[in-house]
Amino acid sequence: MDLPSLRQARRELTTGAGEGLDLVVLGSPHFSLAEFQRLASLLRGQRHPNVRFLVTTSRAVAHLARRAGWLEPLDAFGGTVTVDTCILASPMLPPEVRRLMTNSGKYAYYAPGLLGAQVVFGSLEDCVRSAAAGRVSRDESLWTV
Amino acid sequence: MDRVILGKALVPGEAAGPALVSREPLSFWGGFDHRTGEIIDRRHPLSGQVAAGCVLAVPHARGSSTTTAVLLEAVRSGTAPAAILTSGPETFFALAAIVAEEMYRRSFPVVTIDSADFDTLESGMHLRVAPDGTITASEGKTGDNQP
Repeated sequence: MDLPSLRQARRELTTGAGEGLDLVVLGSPHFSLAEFQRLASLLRGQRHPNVRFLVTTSRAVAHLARRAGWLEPLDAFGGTVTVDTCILASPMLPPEVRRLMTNSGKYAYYAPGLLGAQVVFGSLEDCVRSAAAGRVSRDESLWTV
Repeated sequence: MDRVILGKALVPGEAAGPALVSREPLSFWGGFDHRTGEIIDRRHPLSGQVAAGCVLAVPHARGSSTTTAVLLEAVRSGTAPAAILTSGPETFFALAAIVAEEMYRRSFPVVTIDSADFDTLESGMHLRVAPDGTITASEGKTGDNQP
């Protein structure tokens, strides 16, 4: 495993081109408690009205995250949590979602085949920034060294 | 000219069909549409091919154990491969074949062959699988053209 192979894997996990974005989706496998904590610290303000923001997790982790206060920033941001399933396993994706963004390799890998949607792979920070901006925005600085 | 490969039948059975071959492992969950039999893993070399009725040869399954459930549903829908050949023992495919026989009285053979033999397989060959795990490969078009 070296930097060129990581770069290539990152490239392959994104399909299509451009900045268009309909949905940011996090949590495949289910979003963890530690991830909710990290997400809460990244969220400021509100998502762009054209970009939905969805987190999939288990009922138990959602409950613990709520109790820890980590869902309040997500509520304020305009995000939603769906429990005990994911967009790949349930027909829950609105048909108008043509392009989604995720930090989940699993979502990124399987979304094109299972959902027929385009996908952008980015870090958690990239996902949050893009949801707020209303368009894909990725920090390339890590990858261009 | 026919060629015979001696395999080990994990799930014995008889089948024949055109070979669909890849050196890349395949997850049926997320990688196979049980409604149509199409391979839908868009990053897999066999993406877009219909595996229904083919003798599918992949080294082994990849990822989720839900491969078994998707393959089982494919047997019910009539979209499953005619047989699956692997280059190593593969429990996800075999489990689907065994449970399908139990639930639907319909199944498909799963045969493991040496990786050296696996490397000689090409898509488009006609393959015939016998219950003892013997595979007969003939070049060219599919169809029953045995003497």
